[in-house]
Amino acid sequence: MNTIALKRVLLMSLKSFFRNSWLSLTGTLVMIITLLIISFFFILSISVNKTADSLKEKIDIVVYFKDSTSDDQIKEIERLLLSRPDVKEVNFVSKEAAKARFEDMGGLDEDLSDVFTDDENPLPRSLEVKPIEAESIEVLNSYLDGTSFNPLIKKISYKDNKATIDRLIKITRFFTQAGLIMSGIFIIISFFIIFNTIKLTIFSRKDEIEIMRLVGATDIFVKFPFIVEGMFYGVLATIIAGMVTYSGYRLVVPAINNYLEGIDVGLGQLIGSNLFLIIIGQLLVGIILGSVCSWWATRRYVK
Amino acid sequence: MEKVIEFDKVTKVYGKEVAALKEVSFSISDSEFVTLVGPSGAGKSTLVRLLICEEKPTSGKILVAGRDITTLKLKELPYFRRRIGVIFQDYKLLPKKTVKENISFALEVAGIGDKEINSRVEEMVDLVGLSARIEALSEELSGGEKQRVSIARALVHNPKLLIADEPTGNLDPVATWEIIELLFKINKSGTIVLLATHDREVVDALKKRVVTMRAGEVVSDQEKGKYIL
Repeated sequence: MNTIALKRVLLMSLKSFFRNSWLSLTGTLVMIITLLIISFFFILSISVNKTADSLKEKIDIVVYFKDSTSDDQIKEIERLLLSRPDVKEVNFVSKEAAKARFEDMGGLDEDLSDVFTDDENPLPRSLEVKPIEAESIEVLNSYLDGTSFNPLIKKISYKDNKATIDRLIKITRFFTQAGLIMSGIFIIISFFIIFNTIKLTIFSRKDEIEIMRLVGATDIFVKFPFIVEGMFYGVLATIIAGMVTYSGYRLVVPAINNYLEGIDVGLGQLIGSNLFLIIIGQLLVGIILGSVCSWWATRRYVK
Repeated sequence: MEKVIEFDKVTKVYGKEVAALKEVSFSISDSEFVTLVGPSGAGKSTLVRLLICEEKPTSGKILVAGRDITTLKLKELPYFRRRIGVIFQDYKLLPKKTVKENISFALEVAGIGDKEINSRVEEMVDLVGLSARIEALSEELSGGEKQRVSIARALVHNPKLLIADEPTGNLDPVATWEIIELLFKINKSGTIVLLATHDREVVDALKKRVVTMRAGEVVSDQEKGKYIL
């Protein structure tokens, strides 16, 4: 195809886009909805992931030691734990550090001044163990519980949180899977809707196609305008969906932050830093979806 | 004279046993004017469709300028179509386009430059006598004018052969004769004209070669013939 032909094909696609303006509008609208749905699920998915990650960060096992246990024994246990492949981090909390934390939480008031003196501190030393995967908590727990360390340990705090942690893991999985499935379903739905829109455009220009064939237009010259038209839907839809996404981000994130009253899980920042990527993604999805759908439709209906 | 088109035992069967053409053989020489006559269902339109490669015969060969067009690949088809001109009873014009645009269209799809298109189109419009109506939308034209536009479009590639499939079927007698006169003029300039029609009056008055078909077979082929069915 030479430059003149390419220029004519582009012009034809543009003309057709505006001539069948209602049809074009439907195609673009469907594409906008699709892009927004995909973006929504993408944002939801990365948000849930982020939340899950930050919650997973908070998932750890705290091993409290008896006062009779020596520092060397604790060091030995720390060393053993760190050598395990499923352990990410081990943090030793001394009696002093535990007391300082307790004070920070505002727990040390006058009633307890007898209990907490310079010499006496009832808070135990502990090791905070962070696993690499939340799932390996149970393994770690039975490891600590079942070995010779047991007599040295006062308490393992994991048992108390087991239900919450299990639920969190389940919810995380559910959201990730649901997001993927829903995005998949909507991509398929939009594929068929856009496919049918292009099909209608082809039908509305059946005579033109017949005449083009008759006067000796090559296959690519006949089909290319439809494919370009499908791409137009994608580009136009991205412009609008991108604007909606950006406005949504500017409106919704402050509202969420306001609602959470200062509990910042970093969602705003996360979406903000991904916004450019999301819009580029919309453009790619739009153009690919538009051109693939129309290519498919021309394959089937342009004889 | 040199044979330009040759039908060699061409058979076309639709479905299982409906034979639209049965072993049709005849040839057309350079600069000839041939009328193809016969009642509806005789196979005229099938023959035209085979000649413009819209369909392939079930068996037999169709030679155009020595090349068997039944073996043309899909890719070669557009280039073959540019070498023949076709007009139909229903004109096949784009109603929302002007006379000029309708004719240009055939050159545009071939990737020809704007300058050349303009001069070719003007030449064609002049030939069919529509210079005054060049900017009119084709839906605003009369039947005779529409057919003249479609002739101009068919000739814009300068084809060696013009196929006219019932071109006067929708026209009143005056317009019919205008079109026939135009086809004559085109034939005089050296273009082969194959006119498929069932208009007895036209055929009898023409005194040109008549190939008569009935039930898918050629039943007579006469120089300066008449409509004999």
